[in-house]
Parts: sequence; C-alpha cells; structure tokens
Amino acid sequence: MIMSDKEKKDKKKADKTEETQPRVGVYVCHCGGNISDVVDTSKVSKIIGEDPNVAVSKDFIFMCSDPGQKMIADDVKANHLDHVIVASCSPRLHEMTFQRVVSDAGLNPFQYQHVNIREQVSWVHSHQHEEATDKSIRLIRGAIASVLDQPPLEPIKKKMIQSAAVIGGGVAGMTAALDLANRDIPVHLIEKGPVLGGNLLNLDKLYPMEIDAKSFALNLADKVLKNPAIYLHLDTVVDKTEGAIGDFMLQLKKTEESTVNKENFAVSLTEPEKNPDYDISVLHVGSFIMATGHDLYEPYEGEYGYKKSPFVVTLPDLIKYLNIYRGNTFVYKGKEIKTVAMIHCVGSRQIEGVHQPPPSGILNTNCSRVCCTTTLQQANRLKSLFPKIQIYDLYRDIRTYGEKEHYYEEASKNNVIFIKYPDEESPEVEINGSLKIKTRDIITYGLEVEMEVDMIVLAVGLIPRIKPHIITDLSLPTGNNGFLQEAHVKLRPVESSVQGVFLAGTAQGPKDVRESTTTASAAAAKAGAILTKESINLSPFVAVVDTDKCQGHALCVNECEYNAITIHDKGVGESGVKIASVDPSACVGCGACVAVCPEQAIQVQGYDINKLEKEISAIMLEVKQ
Amino acid sequence: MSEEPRILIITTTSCSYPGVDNAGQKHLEYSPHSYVLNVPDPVMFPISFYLKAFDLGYDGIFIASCGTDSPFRKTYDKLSARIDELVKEMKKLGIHYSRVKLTAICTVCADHFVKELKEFSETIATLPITEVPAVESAGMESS
Amino acid sequence: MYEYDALIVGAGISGIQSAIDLGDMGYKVLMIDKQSSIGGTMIQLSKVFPTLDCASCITTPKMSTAFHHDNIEVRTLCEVKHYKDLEDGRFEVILKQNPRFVDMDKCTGCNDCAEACPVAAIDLGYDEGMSYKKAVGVPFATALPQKAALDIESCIFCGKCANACPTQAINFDHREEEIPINVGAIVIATGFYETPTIREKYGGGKFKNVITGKQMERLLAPTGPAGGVFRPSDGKSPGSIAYVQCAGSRDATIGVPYCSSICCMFAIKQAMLLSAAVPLAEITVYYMDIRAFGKGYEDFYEEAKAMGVEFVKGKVAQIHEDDETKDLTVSVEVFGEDGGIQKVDHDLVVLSMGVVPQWTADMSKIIPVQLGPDRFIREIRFTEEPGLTSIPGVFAAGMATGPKDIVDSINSGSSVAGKVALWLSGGLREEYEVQYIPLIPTLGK
Repeated sequence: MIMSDKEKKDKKKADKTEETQPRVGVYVCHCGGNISDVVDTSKVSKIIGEDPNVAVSKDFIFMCSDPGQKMIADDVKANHLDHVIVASCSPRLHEMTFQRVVSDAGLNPFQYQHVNIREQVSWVHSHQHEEATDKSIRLIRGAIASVLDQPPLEPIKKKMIQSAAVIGGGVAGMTAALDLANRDIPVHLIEKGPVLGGNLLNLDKLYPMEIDAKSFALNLADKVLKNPAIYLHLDTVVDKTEGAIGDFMLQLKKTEESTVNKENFAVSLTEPEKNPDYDISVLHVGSFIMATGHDLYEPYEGEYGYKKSPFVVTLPDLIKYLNIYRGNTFVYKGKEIKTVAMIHCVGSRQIEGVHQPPPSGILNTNCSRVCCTTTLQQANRLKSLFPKIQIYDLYRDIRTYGEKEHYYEEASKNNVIFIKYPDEESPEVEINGSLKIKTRDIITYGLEVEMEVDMIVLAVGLIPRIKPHIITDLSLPTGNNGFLQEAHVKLRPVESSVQGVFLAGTAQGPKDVRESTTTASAAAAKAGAILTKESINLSPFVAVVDTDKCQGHALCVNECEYNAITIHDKGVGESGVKIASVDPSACVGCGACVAVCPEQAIQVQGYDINKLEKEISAIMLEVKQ
Repeated sequence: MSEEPRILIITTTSCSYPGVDNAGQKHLEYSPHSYVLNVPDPVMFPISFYLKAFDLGYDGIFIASCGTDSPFRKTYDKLSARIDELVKEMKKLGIHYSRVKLTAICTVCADHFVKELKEFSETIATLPITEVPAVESAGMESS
Repeated sequence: MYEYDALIVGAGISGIQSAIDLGDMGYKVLMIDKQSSIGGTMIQLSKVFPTLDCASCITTPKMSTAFHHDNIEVRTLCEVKHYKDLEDGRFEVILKQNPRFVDMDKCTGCNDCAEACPVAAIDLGYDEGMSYKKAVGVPFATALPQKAALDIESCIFCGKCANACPTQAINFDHREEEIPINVGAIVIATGFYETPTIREKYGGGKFKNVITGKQMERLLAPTGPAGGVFRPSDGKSPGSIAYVQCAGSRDATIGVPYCSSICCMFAIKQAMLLSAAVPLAEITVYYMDIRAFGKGYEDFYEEAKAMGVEFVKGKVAQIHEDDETKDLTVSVEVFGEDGGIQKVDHDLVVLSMGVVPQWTADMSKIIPVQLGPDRFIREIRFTEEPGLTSIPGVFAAGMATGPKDIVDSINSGSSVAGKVALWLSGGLREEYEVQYIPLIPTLGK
C-alpha cells in the first residue's frame, strides 16, 4: 500500500504518541539579572518542570554563553530531548543561536522554540514581580503547546543566478560593481543619467586626502568601462522588479531625457566604446545592490534669502563656481565678494516647530554628516585663494569628526570667525541692497550680533531620493527619515531586510566618499559571498496545501498578490478534481491565502492556525501557586 | 491575581514585534496580562480565530499590524476589511466591538504602542463581562 | 608549518566581522588575540547607541559564530612575533603563543580554581580597574573560549588552584611557544585604547571620583563589577554626575589632535542609562561640539535632552578635589546667555578620554606597515579602497586605521574581507602603484 506524505506524517505522529511521551527541555535564562531580578526564574523552571511533557527544566545565568549552549547540547543527547525551549531575551537576538545549538545536537531547528521573557516581560513589568513570573510561565506553556505541534521543517533549496545588478552609477555603485566584477561575477550597472559619477561630479577635492573629485570619478569610470564583466546601462531606470533572492527580475526602461547636462563633464564618462547598446530590457540576477544615492536639500524661496538675492548660494553652487573661477579677487555676478557668511545645518537637524520640512513633508532631523567638513574645507579654500576675504561661520555644532578635525584647526588658524547660533533660533537674513544677518552668539554669552556680508553660503544637507519604483515594488523598508533601512542598525548595516538586497553609499544615509566606498565594498563582499554559490537555502515559512482537504475552490489563487498559487488536476485517475499548489520561491509567506480557505487546507509552514490556537489556549491556563 | 483584562497582542515579524521589543529596551511599563503572538502578518487569521480567542477567555485582542508599511502587498486593506467583518460577527454574538482593536505599530513605535495598549486595556476594563458563546473552530482536528 | 588563507590579528568586532565574512566565502582563517578571550572592546560595553541594545547580547552571537565557524580557527593569548613577506603573494609569520598555565583540553570552565585562589589583584583588563580579580579563572561570564587562564604576574604560587581543579588542568610548566604559519593575507584589526594621559588639570589620574568613559561603561554594564553605579571613593550613589567631553582628544598638547568620533555618542548614551540607573542624579555634559553625526544619532541626542540630561557648552578649566570628602568642584567657562566662569560641585566626573591606536610604531617594526600622521595605520588608498596598507596583501580594519564607531567598524571589517578575497583570488595587484600624496597640511606633514 502506498501512503501519501500526509498519511505517513499522521502515522508517524500516531506512532510517536503511542510509544513515547514528548521530552521537552526548557531553559530559563537569568540574563545576568536582567531577567532574574524581576522574574522568579527558579520558580518558573520548577513549575514548568511539573509538566509531564517536560523532561528537563533548568535556569542559568547566561543561556547564550558557551556553557549555557553546551548544557543544552549535552542534555539533548544525554536526556534524549525531542524539543527544546529557551526563555530569554528577544528571539531577534538569539533564536538563531539556539536553533544552531539544537541542530548541531541532532534535532531539527524547528523543534526549537524561543520565548521572550526579557524585552516583553522583565523589562516592561519591572515592578510587578509576581505578574511577570506568572506571565513567563504562561508564555512558556504556550511555547510548549506550539512546539509539540510543529513538524520538522527543512530549508528549501533554490538555484542561484550567479550574476548581480548594481543600481546607481555613483561612487558607491561603481565601487561595488568593480569589487564584484573583479571576483568574476557578472554585474549589470544601471545608471539613470547619461554619465557615471553621480554626486561626485558636484564636488571639488575629496577630504582629507584632497583628491580631485573629477579625476577620481574618471579613474573609477575608466575601470568600469574596461572591465569585461560589467554591463553598463546608462540613461536607464528599473521600471519593474519582481522575484526573490536567487532570481530577481529587473525590467529596465530607457529614460526619455537625462537629468544631467552632458557638456559639463568629461566625455569619456559618456562614451562606453566597449559597450554597444545592449538590447536587454529584462534582467535576471541572483542579488542586487541599491546604490541610488541622495539628493541635496533645496532651500525654499526666502530661506535665509535664497532666491531673493543672487548672492545667497548653496555650498554645492559655490564649489561649482570656484571649480571654474580663475580670478585673483573673488568676483561673483559682477560684485567683488569681500565678506562671506557660511550657514550650517540648512535642511538638516531640523526641529519641529522651528524649521519647515522639505517637499517630502518629512522633517529631516538627521545630521547630514558631511557638510561641516565640506564647509570648512571650502572656507579654507576661499582663504587660500583670496587671503583678504573675511569669513563668518554660523554653526550649531562643528562636526569634523575623526581626522577631519584638522580642517577645523586649519579654519581657526585662518581666522575664520565662528559664531554658534542657538539650535532653536535660526539666523535672520535681511536683504536691503546688501545682505544683513542677525543672530545671537552663544560663545559670547548670547550676545546679539549683526553683520553685513557680500555673500551667504548655505551648507545644504543630504536628503533621501524620492522613492524609485524598485523600493515600492519589493517593499524595501525605509527608516524615519526616508533613507533605506538596514536589517540591523548596528550589526547588519549593509543588508536590507529583503534577502539578497544590499545597500551601499548614501542611499542608506549620509556618508562621505570614503564611507561610501567602505559600505560599497562591504555590500559587494556580502553579495559576493552568496553569488559564488550555486544554490542557496530559502526560508521554509511558505504556504503549503493539504492535498486531502483542498477542494479546488481557488479562493487562495485570487487572494495571492504574488501569483504563487496555481490550480491543477489532482492526479491521474481523479480527473475533475482540481487542487491548488504553491511555488515556494514566489511565495512570501504573508498568509493572505490562509484566511480565505473555507477548508483551512492551506497553511503557512511554521504558523499553522491550529498550532497557534493551541498556543493561545495554553497561555490561558491558570498557574497554580 | 488582579482582575485586569487579559489581552492577546498579535504582532508582525517586521514591524510591531520589534516595536514591542523597543518598549522593553526603553523600559516602559504596560499590563503584564498581555501576551504576544507573533506572525508574519495578521491577514492570515480567519474570523473564527478571533472568536476562538474570546472563547478561550481573552478579554481583548490588540492587533498590532504594520499598517500601510506592511512588507506584503495589499495585506493591510484585506486585514481592515476582515476586522470590519469580525466586528459585525461579534455584534451578533453579543461581544462588544471595543474588545478588538486594529492598530499599526512600527519598529520604534514603543511609546505609541504603550499608549494605545493602555487605552485599550482601560476601555475593556469598563465593559461588562460578556459570556462568549462557544465557537466551533473549523480547523480543529478531532483526535 | 600550518597554512591559512588569512591571518586576522585582533578579535574585536571588526576582526570578528572580517573573519566571519571570509569564513562564509570559504576561506580558511586564523584569528588571534593577545587577550585570553575574544570580543575586544565591544564585549566590555554596557549598551550601544542609538538602539540601546545590550552590547554583550549582540556581541556574543557574533563571537560565537566566529568561534564555532568551520573555517575559522581561534587562538587567544597569541601575538605576531616575526613576519616575512615571501613576495609571491604569501607571508611567513611566526606567532608567539603566550602560556595560559591551564590545559585547554582539560579545563571545563567550572571556575573552581578561581574559588580557591586567595589573590585579589586590581582587574586592569575587563573591568578597567573597577574591581579585583583572582589570579586564575575564566576571564568573564561570556568569554570565549570558556576556559580558565592564569595570570602569572599576580600569582603567588600557593598551588591552591591546582589542588582545587577537578581535572588537573592547571599547569605551571607552560612556556611561551613559537608557531610558524604560512598565510595568503594579513588583516590587522588591533583596535584602540582609551587615551592614557589624564591631564593635571583633571587630576592627573589621582582623583578617585574622576573616572574615564570606559570605566563608566563597566559600572553600567549588567556584567559590571558592583551591580550599579557608585563613587569609587566611598561607594555612595552619586547625586550629581558630570561629563567632560574631549578630555583626551582634540588636544595637540597630549598628542591627540584628532576627534575620537565616539565620545559624544557614548556620553549621551551613558547619560541616558544613568538617568535610569541613578534616577535621582543630575547629569551634566560639558561639551564644545556635540558630534551626533551618524544615522539616527541626532534623534538620540534630542531624546537625551528630552529626558532631562543637561548639555552645557563650556570649557572645563580645572577639576578640584576636596581632600576630606573627595567631592569635586569643576571650574568651567560656560557659554550661552548666563555664561561666564562658574564653579560647579559634582560627586562624580567622567572624562570622555578619546582613543589612541593599540598598534604602535614598535609593532610596525614587526609588520612594517606605514603609520599616518595621527599614528593610526596609514591606508594608501584612504578614500578609494579603505583598508589597504602600504604592504600589498596586508590590510587593516576597524579602529586600527582611525576612530570609528561600531557600525563603521563592522562596515570596515566586511569591506576588508572583500578586499582580502580579491587579493587571494589574484586581484588587487596594480592598486598599489598609485599613491596619492595627501594635500591637507596636517596630514601631509
């Protein structure tokens, strides 16, 4: 007799329950007092130990430490545990740690369940010790009920398309593309403009090595053009994105008009000789890197006199002008400029009620990181070009961190006059034939100062780009300020929460060029690590159909936004009966299909509704004192 | 133990679970009679699941969704529609509509979460205790 | 002779990150650290900004991943003694394995030796001088390897530990050993020290209630020495705590002209943690510029202000200690509306000391990488390809090349791993021909 998988599973389950009582190991962590100062961990472990399904119940100072991990591994072997539960910090920290421990000890990782009794118990109920202890017991009971109902799961293997795409041809994009291509991974470099170089093209010398930005860009672009493994797509945007790690589909579209004026920049950047016009409109890549860069904050009309007077300019405007200006005295628009005021934090570090948000409507509360140093670099440049020029620097905090402090020292030696204005009281600019600035200086104990200047330079901040298609298509998360959000701020700075998508450069947040190349190389290293493999393991948390229950109503097919479900004949000899099946690499595991199935025949693996009902039911059992 | 209402909090892996964690990291305080059940997206739950929870004795269900920030396509629209249906069903069974609440909690919305949960809990505490008629869970296997 | 693809010197967060990334790519890695446990500075910290994740909680998984990785071998109490560039893309290195006086194979980490040890020496390592430690024992709760080590300097050779050890693991016969290895690439990730010079005007290191930022980290850590924040002079809970920013950097007179990049943020973070740990204490931060430049840092700073931490722009001229009470008076020129010279009493003062590299000119005699003007390891392609040192095939990551916070150190570790992979696959050879001459005066000198 041939049994279906389901029957085998049921049989196995039945055999198991008949033959043996489950043997669960439960471990309660003190977290060095973080938990045990509030939760009575030894009581928890004692009461849980009374459950007939629990073979081992222990508490320990640091479950995550090596002795803690070893304790679990040893118990699994010595006490023949079939399921393990650790009650400790958030699963976001250590679920994987313990899954690895149990799988090394011979169990399936899904025979492990994690219970959060720190972030969601001891830290939030610190004054209610009894209640916190009661809650911990209930949560662990829920986990026991749940884990006992969870069949072992295996990761789903997926073939890897061993080529990459990099979106954005600025410094980060070019660096990432080169790093990948130099490891023999074919790369599609997609740039929406007609030239490579991105924001580099607006810069002067790159601090602190004072490398010429344009030759830097040329150098990189030259390498990109010469690299046979890089396929360049200029004037191209990604119109549509689909798929998942291993196989992302990017549909490309040529832009109608370019946003950058070609004539200003070096020709060689725009003439990719080796690069005939590839007629590729659909790419398939295994992984891609977002290097879409930033926009510069555009001051609104009247902000510090911007657009009301031609002598109120942004810092990038000044840089561009100085890059081409060749006079002995500083003449701008026919006027000799003898005094300049530079105002920091224009469009960054914005405060609610004080500043007007950019057009996106979201206040840019972030510090833009690069403007302080660039402002002082340009102040020093003005001083060296025109030694008699008088410069006022109006700032909130001078943020020349690291070795960049030398620019601050240099500016002080150059007699730049620093005025610290109050955070919540921006300087006022009056245009009356001349430019007059009124502010208060904290350094001189809040003295009101007034100065007349010939030019005002606004150190504008870096703001996120308007969301391109790709972000919305794949639902790449963005943070509070609109920059792309990394998977973990501290530990996974170049990974997106969408697997296989990496972040480089200022798309993730303000960075200088060195920091952009660092993150680009880091993203390329991470992408390279998966792209050199022929297949990868995917999450098993996808929808599966119970072929016995499915009646072929197809409600799930219509509900799925990812086209992951199809209906087909059940099998030979049963023609007429149609049932659903799921493509696991297209399924994202959202569960939209689950709720609409009248037979409950489709479930997301790991989140079976019946299992979850058992969990919430176990939580409601009273704890006997 | 006190008579405080018991609340089932449904969270999502990408938004509200980290958000609830964030309340912990900030050492905020909320009712200990609240229990988190985490899923990829609450859109997976049929109406019967919520009714089952009331049946089990939960006094309220707090759905902390991703709102429009959901990483999944169109799930929030579907979820809100389902909760509207749920409320109608609850009315039929004599369960007060305030016992279910759909919110959106982001990864760092700790303060917002605590405030919403507190209000929810206080609202429920003022409601008369309802006897929830037993609901047959469609998926329960007989064993 | 053992062969590896890469040798990583220093097992702090950036070294660990490099090791994991290289290991994941399939390269064989040897990671060494001169301490008796891996983890570096990060494992000593309390919590990290701006997420307030507990540092130990997010470091231990990374430590554990590296330590148990199939492609990574770890050696502690180990240093580089000799180095030779074989000029064929490989290096011969002789490692100095310092004696542990505990047989690693026998030790179970039970710590009975520490229980038996009668020594109480000041713990200048993990606890930054804030506690006493035994001469033998497992270095700290989350140490890896979880094995005892014996500190021969403080040992009085009473033999009690050897008697107490259930597995006879204590072994006084251990001697320094030389281990020759052959490697394809070297990553220097030796990190930083707090600036060691405490200026006379801040007490020159003699005032008991003037402590450094890192000492405060230990007091705040859940694994800390006292289970709370106290005044070292009398153990009392401080009612008023002051931070002096830039106490050991942005100051050419002590040889640290650069900004250390991390002190503003760790002071803000500590201030926030102190408001919870010592709720009644008033916390004042004396600063010249608050440098909250990273992603989300400015919001974090605003949050601290909202919590009531007082940020005072001012220059601290002098700290005075009362001979009897050991209370402190800070003379400070306060800027702002009611500014001027003020004398303010504080119970505890924390100096934000800044950072200096652990890699020294002497170490550059062993592996001859050039140092930059700020005495960090010079990166020859600083802007274009961070991490490349003056020697092809030798790379540097993390704080070894300049001040960085944890995020930047992790980025640096990953990017260097990528560069090492390029080097090992035969690339990156021509990059060394281009050498820019830095134009900025101070860096060019």
